[in-house]
Amino acid sequence: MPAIPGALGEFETLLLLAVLHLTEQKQEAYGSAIRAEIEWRAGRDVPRGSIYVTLDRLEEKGLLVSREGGTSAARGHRPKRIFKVTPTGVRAVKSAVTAVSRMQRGLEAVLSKA
Amino acid sequence: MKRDLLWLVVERRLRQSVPPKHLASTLGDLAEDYARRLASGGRIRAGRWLIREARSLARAYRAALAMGAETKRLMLIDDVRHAWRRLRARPGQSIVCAGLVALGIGLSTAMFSVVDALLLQPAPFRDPDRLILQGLFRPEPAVMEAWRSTGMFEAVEAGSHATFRLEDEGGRTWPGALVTPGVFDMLGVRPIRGRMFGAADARTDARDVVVLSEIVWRSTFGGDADVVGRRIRLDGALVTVVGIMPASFRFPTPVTVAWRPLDPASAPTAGFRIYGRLKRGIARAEADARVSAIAIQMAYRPRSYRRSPPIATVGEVELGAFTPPALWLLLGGVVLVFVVLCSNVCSLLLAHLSSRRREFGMCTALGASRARLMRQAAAEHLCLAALGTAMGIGLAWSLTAVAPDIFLGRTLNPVDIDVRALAAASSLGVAAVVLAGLVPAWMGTRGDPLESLRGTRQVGAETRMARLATRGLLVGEIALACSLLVGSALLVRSFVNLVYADRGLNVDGVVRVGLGGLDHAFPRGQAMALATAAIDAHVAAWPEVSASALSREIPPLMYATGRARVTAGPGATSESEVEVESDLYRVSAGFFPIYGIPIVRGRLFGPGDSEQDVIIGERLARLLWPGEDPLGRTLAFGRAEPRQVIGVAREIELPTLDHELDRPELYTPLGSTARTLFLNLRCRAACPNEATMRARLASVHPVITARMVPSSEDAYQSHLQLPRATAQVGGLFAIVALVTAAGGLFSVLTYAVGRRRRELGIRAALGASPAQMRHLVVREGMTMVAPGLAAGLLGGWIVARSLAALHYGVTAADPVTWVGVLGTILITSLAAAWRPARQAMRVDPVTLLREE
Repeated sequence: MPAIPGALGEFETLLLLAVLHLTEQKQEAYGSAIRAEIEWRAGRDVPRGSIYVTLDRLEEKGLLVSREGGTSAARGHRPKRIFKVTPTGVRAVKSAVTAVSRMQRGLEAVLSKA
Repeated sequence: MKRDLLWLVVERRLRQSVPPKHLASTLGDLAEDYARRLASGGRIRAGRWLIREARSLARAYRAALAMGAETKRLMLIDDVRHAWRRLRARPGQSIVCAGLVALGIGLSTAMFSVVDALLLQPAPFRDPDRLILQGLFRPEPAVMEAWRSTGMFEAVEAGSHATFRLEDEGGRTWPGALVTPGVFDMLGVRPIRGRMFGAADARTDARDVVVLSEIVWRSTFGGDADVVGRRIRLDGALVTVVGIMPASFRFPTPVTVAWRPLDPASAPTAGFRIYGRLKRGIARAEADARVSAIAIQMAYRPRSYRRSPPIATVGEVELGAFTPPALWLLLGGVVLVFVVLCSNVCSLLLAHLSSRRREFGMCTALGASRARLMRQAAAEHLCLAALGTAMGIGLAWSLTAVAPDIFLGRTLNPVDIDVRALAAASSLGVAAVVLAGLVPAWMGTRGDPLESLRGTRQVGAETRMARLATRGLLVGEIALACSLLVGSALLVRSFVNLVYADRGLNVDGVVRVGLGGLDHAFPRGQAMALATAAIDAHVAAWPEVSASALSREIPPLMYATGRARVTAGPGATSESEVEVESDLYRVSAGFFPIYGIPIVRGRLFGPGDSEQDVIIGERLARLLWPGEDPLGRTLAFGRAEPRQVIGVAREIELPTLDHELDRPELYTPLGSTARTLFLNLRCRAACPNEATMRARLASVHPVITARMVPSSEDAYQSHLQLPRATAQVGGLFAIVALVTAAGGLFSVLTYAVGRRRRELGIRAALGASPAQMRHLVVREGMTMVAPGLAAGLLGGWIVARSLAALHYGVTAADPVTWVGVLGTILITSLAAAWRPARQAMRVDPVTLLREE
């Protein structure tokens, strides 16, 4: 069982979750779709550069894998780069999310006021 | 979507920052979103959006790239710092390892450099493969003409060794050469100052010029720029310096530092050589055949004379028969030493494998990644190797700096550090250190870290792999050291035999004086014969002199003077022709008693003897008339008049490994055409000095000059120089290998005793006596020494057999050598095991239990 290299940052967690969501919905998780997913679910407009660079880094860490997908005329016949979360990635997300939910336990009252 | 200008700009911008493999998909995503914007918000807004997006992408990628590089840099610095700390934590081990690597790199690079300069590199001239030479013993301009007429040569030149005495500057004598003017052009060399000889310089009336080497220019004239054009006094005559050659240019001998022009038509001396540059495309063999044919046709070399090829490449001839096998041997030796040193470094590093493995296991358990740990281990050992390499380069440099002292005079090439050898030796050394360093890291980070922590806790446990590796390497080291020891012991024995060999004559106390100017004083043969008799009588009357003799040659001769086909008469048939290369001594009768050479048969030269009467050495007698009485027999040199044997002298031996140099002797009375003569003197107390002798001889004739020549002992010693150097270097290699192997044994045993303290303590508690404990450790040592010794003796036998050419008075089966080597290895091993064994004896179970 390979070790999880370091803890995930918040933005990394968001990205992985977005990819998981798209995959769950049987949609293609590529750059634009991931960005739209984060915008729609988290209500955040994230700079495109940050998304792409972070996707590359997560792939390097082995939390994501990418493959070439289909093209279309709208894309100028350029391929999509479609991401999928690896099992290690899933564990990393789980661990990050668990940590957050454990940390907020007992703070429900404070957090709900905000 | 149209590919408009905006898209071209965006594409170009992203091409500079986005990694190429992701460029298409990134542009695709942008295009897709852009199309959506275009549909909803119009062209201008979409365009602005596109530019913003592209800028964001470019910035993010650039920032990521910069951060990655910075991280890598920081990690590198961190690794190097960590490595340095680790090395400093164990200074002893680090210094020993680096020192061993340095020794290996230094010794092997220096040795390779010497071999390269002496044996591998061609002579340092333009197209050296096409330069050939032929040695002659008489000046033969006709031979040069014949060479030229073959049309095979671009140039045909001649040269001869000579000695020049610079009289202005403290009277130093420099080895020089007489050369035909075209020699420099033929070799393709240029002067650093002034000019080379021109065709006019060889004319008899214009020969008062000299070209000096930079060496003479700097040492004698202090590098004075105005020396070109200056008149200097050389051998009593005023000559003009016309040019300075670079210090690296030495020709025709490796010590030549001055050149004067030579006119082949009036060439004077022996040792004359013809040099030719073959035209492009002319094969060596073809030239060889033609040149041999010319030699036979010109009758200066007999038909049946087959020794050594008639032509040689320039630079090939200086080595003699001893140097090449000796150098190849030493090269082989240094390779073995290198292997021993590297194995020792490996075994030293691997001896601590268990503890290192545990350490790495602990780091892994604490969360360090394997790649990181491997990188750290690599950095640590790279630092160690770099330290060793730096020291090794220094050592190689200092060794090659002293090499010319031993090997100058044997090669025309400069002895410089051979960069290829340095690179090869360094990379092998570095590889050995890094590999040995990575093994524990690899094992320690493999599998469950807890396993490697647990594995080493058991009593006396050393991992099987560590045990096998260190002991295997040690056995190999002992074997190689043993082989080297056998080889070098035989070399040393040969050298000692050479020094104490019976030379067959006694040169102690014989003073030799060169007499010159005789041909000027007595140009006519008859007068000369009378003059020599007069000198002989004059010198014999000197009060200090107890014995004296005149001779044209003095022992030992450096080259054969009587080289001919000899017909043993009377009634000679072609079957009785024998080819001999002999040392011809033309001597007065006093020569034999003064050098203590007894006449074993027949008689000495008497007053009535002519040049047709000869005394021969025992070896020549055996060669010409085996089993018969040589007295009264005749022998003929080529087509010359037959000569009669009147006596047989005891053989003179030249103790040398180059058997071709030890030739049979032939003595004739002094001829009547001597240009130079040597005066051999034995004095009651001290001999008169040079000036006194010159003054006294002036009374015979004022033109006669007298000059002391080096003693025979010096000449004999010069034959010992290379055997001595070979024995010394070989001995050094053997000692390095032996000490290294002993050190390896010591450290492995010390480490083993340290690890087995608990076991030893238990044994002591159960009643084992100190002697038994000592026996335990010594036995462990001997389990490594015994197989090493067995393999080493086998290797030693192979080494000894392959060295046969370098043996003098010993055989490969020399019992003294073998017993000595066996004893040395055993005693050294016992000495190495002694301290660890003492440590084992001192293990106190009570203290140990308390510690636990």
